[in-house]
This record gives sequence, structure tokens and C-alpha cells, in this order.
Amino acid sequence: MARYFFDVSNGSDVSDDVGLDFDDAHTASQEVLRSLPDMVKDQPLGRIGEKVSVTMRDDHGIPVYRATLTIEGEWLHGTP
Amino acid sequence: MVMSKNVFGLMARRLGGAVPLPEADERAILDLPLIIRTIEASRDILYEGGPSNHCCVILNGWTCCYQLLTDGRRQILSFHVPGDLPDLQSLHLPSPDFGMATVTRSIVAFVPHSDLQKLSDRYPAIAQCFWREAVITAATHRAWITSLGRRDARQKLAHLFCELYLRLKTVDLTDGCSMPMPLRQTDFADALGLTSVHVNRTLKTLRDQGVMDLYARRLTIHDWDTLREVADFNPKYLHLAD
Repeated sequence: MARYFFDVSNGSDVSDDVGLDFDDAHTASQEVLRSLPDMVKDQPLGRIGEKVSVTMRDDHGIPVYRATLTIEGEWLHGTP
Repeated sequence: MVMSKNVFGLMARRLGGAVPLPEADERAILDLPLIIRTIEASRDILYEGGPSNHCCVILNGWTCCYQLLTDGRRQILSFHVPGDLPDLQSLHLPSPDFGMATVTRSIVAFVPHSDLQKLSDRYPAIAQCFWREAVITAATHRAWITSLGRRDARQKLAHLFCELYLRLKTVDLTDGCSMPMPLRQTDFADALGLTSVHVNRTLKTLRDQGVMDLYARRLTIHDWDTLREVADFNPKYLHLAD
């Protein structure tokens, strides 16, 4: 078990000072990936190209992994 | 005897709700045979599909009911605190469709179904109380379904905190605006259908906004009105005694 910290950026930046315990970095990174659509679901999606990203730090505070989800949308025959 | 009086007190308060039970009924509850067990944290009490011959009353500590998916993921269905009768329904459905485990070290009283059935047959007021208890459980599940389906992470957490605070307050386990909070971020995630990373981020937001604080296994609500507003919380579904 090791503790990792998860800083979230989606419109505003939220820095984690509590952390979560995972068996290993890979398991933690999987949870980060799953968290992206989870968080996007709660977000008002106004702008095209809106991003949510999570940066994972190890227990020394060193960023070791980052995942980003970008929402894209475009009108296909001009803006109505 | 002291312990069974304690059980009786908790059960009577819980079952009676606003209306005190007749004296004979209270005595009948006091005479129930009980098996009292202390169970360590994170242990199973009841297995899904397993046999069940007893209903339990939580005397001390926290438990949760859950269902497991075949891939190992867990949905927590409810949390239980002292005074709760989490599996009263097993009186009529003796093969539980859920598992129950301790969250913290807990003291649990087990009452045989046969004795509860006799009690319910002989004392109509108690039978009424069992029925009331079962429909309140259903009302609570409805509130959870609405939360799971329609609230966002911040609202879900706020709603759960409001509910647990009021339930703990009824059994005198709150201290001002603070209460024990043994649940971990993964427990919140499993109860609210969220990832633990999202729970972590949302708790941080609620803390940064000064609504609540979670420290050393205690939750302090700094701003009840905002918490309640965020949750869109209406305590009516709990039908708590005043």
C-alpha cells in the first residue's frame, strides 16, 4: 500500500492534501482514469475543448502521472 | 441485564417513534432472548444468500449493508448506527439479498426470528412498529436512489452527511455540530456510486468552502444551512422522533 495525492483541474484547481491509499501506482492510475468521466458528469459543459485533468503525486509530492479528458463538440454544417 | 435494558431502550425508542409503546409491550421486548457479540471492524455479519435466523440490533459502532457485483465492485446500500435494526426484513425474507459488515468494531445484539415473530403475533402495537420500521427503511432507500441517480457528487456527500448527522443526533451520538465519521473515502465512493478520486476532490471542495471539516475520524459541520441547501435535504423521509 502507498499513498497518492490527486490534484484536479477542471475550471478551478483543487490540490489534494489528504490522499488515498492504493496497492500500487498502476491501480491508482486506473482509478484516476475512471474518475475523469465521473467528474465530467458533474460539470456544466459550456465551452468546446473543456478539459478535466488529474495529476497524481506520490507520497514524496512528486507528480508521477497525469490523465486528461477533453470534451469536443462541433457543428457539422455551420452554427445554427 | 444492563445490556438487555440498553437494547430494549434503543429498540423501544427506535420502534416506538413518536408514540411510546404500552407497558406490557415494553416488558415483552425486555424479555427477548439476545445473543450479544462484539465484532471487529470490517468483518462480515451476514452473507448475501446465506441463512439468517436472527435479526440484529446495532448497540455500538457502525455497520453497512452492501451488494457485490461479480467483478468485485461493491455497492453500499445503507449505513447503520446504534439503535438501528438493519435486517428486520429478514423476519419475513430469511435469505438476505444483501451482505452486512461492520465498518468499525461493533457490538451487535441478535434476536431469534422465532421470538420476534411471537412478539409480533402477540402484541399488535409491536407488529405495527415493525411495519413502520420497514416502510421507513424503504423511504430511506428511495431517498438514496434519488441521490444516486440525480445528485452530483457534492450534493450526494452533503445529503449523506445531513442524514447521518440527524440519525446520530437522535441517539445522542453527536457533539454540538460534530459527529464520529469512521467512513473512509472508498466507503463514500461505494455508497454514492463515485470514484474515490472524485470523493477526495469533492470533500476537499466542501472543506475549502468552509461547509464542513473531516479530521481524525470526526466530521464537523460548520455551516448546516449551506450543507442542507447543497444537499436539497428534507429530513421528513427519516421519520425521526423529536
